Amino acid sequence: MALLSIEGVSKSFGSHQALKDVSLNVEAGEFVSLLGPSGCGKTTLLRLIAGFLTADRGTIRIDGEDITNVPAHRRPLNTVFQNYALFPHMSVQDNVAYGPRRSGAGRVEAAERASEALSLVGLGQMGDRYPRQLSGGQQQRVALARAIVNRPKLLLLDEPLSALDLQLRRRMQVELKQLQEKLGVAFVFVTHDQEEAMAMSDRISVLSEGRIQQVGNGAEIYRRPANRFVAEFIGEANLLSIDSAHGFEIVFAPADQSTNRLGVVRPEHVRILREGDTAALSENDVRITAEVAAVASIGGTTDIHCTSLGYEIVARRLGLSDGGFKPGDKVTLVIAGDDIHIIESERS
Amino acid sequence: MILRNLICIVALFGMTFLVLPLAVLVGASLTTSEFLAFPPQGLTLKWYAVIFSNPTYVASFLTSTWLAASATLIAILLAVPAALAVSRYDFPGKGAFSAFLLSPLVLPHLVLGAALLQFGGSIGLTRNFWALLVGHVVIVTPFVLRTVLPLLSREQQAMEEASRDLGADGVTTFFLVTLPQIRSGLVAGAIFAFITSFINVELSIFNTTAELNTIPVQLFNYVQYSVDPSIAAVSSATIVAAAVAIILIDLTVGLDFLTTNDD
Repeated sequence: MALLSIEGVSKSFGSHQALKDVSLNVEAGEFVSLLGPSGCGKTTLLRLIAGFLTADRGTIRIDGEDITNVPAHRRPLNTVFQNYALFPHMSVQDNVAYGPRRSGAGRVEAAERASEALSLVGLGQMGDRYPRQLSGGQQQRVALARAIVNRPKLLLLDEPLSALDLQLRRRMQVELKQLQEKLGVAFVFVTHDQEEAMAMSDRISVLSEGRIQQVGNGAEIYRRPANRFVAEFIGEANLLSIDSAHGFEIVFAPADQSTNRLGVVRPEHVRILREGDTAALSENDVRITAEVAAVASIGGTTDIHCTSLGYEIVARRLGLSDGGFKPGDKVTLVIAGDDIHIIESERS
Repeated sequence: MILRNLICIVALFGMTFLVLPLAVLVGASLTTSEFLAFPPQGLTLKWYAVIFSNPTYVASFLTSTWLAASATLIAILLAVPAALAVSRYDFPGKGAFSAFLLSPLVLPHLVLGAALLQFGGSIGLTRNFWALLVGHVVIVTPFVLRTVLPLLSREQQAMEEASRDLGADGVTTFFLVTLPQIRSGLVAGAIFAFITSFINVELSIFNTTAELNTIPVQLFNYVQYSVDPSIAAVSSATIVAAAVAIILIDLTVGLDFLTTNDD
């Protein structure tokens, strides 16, 4: 039985339907990200689980118990808020002890548990300070300590790292993941950052326009996106209309001709050869003749933008070397047949 | 540097302009002459003795204090839930509701007083303490509302959610999280409310009687017929009382929030 089970949940605000028939299961100890652009419904879903909103339709269960209409303060879960929502009039210690106090612990016991939680997040010495005296990263840790002090089985995190700078953010990603594994608590982690979701999650649930588009681990979602939205939202993708496909014999249609199937090709799967260079081809390879349009080095990789059949196709090479390709060069783009993921294209 | 000095001079001038009348008032209350005189001719506290031995003044002073305190308390009890409702919930007529709550701020008190007297007359609520109280609650509630509303921000709402998330019910959350956060606004609003009520003439005048009078109305009536240093003494006593109250508030809850901003 899943720890958290969401079935057919819908939620509207006025005429805006924020969530449409969403279903999702989260197992005990699992790290699940809700990933999507702003306005996709991920925060609404989190607030429904936390109990700050009530679903129009559908059920939410925790450990099999229907909590759809249970008020927030009686739900067996805790939340880390986006801007931490620490109580500014209480010391760090009192902030963290707030949860145990409310669940009936005495003053002494609550203080002990708060100290324990604070040392777990590396803030053992900060108990007497006030939230405004702490840095953003430290406040983040206090928020985390406050949320785990009652040892919930399920922790909800609403873009908890979005206010931190990049370096701190990377470090916190690692720490958060370690803490999650150490405590064995299930995380439902809202983020709009696909790299963050990829780096941390066991499974990712991609949302768009109030619907779950795809659920799977990072590799599945990257390699086999369920639809055009996922393909474009996760990583970068060349999207090419497919004219015909028999096994690996795939023929692409020109860009202005829309067909009912799309080939998704990641830039790093596009090899680029000089015209006439057929040395390293295998029979499963699909070849496209193209012309180099632009070359751009971005740190560890170099992107070569080519045009063919009216598409702009990006080939990505590791390293700073552009391989001697210049705009205007005639080239052959080579894609291994099994690197082409085929999806049904929704016609508009 | 020149600009700084200029600002200092202007500020000093402004302060002097504001404080000088008070100094004149206090000075005049100490005069030995039978008429208002400044600088005082000799020093005496006899005018204070005159007013404090006059039971009418003492009674009015007590009435005003009671009235202002009760009106402020009721205003707090009305304004806090109203502010919570306006800031937290969407409901039909919300705009009209908040405009209505703030309307006494812009309505002339005389008009309000006349209207209340008419209405009060039709339901038998006139010329007693309760009639006064109703009017004063109406005019002071907007002050508390105005000072509390800005503190009920989105961050504040997130804190309340955090409290509920940690297992606190609505009532506990209100007392442990909401109230401490709006305290500064409550104190500021309460000060404005108390003062507004304490110095009100226009509204009170409709419902006061010879036996039930507030101190400003008493003064207003008195100066129509005679001007002697006793009114300066009453005014000075009020100023001293106000100063003591402000100092007490500063010592207990602090007035820093009036001049500084946490964010």
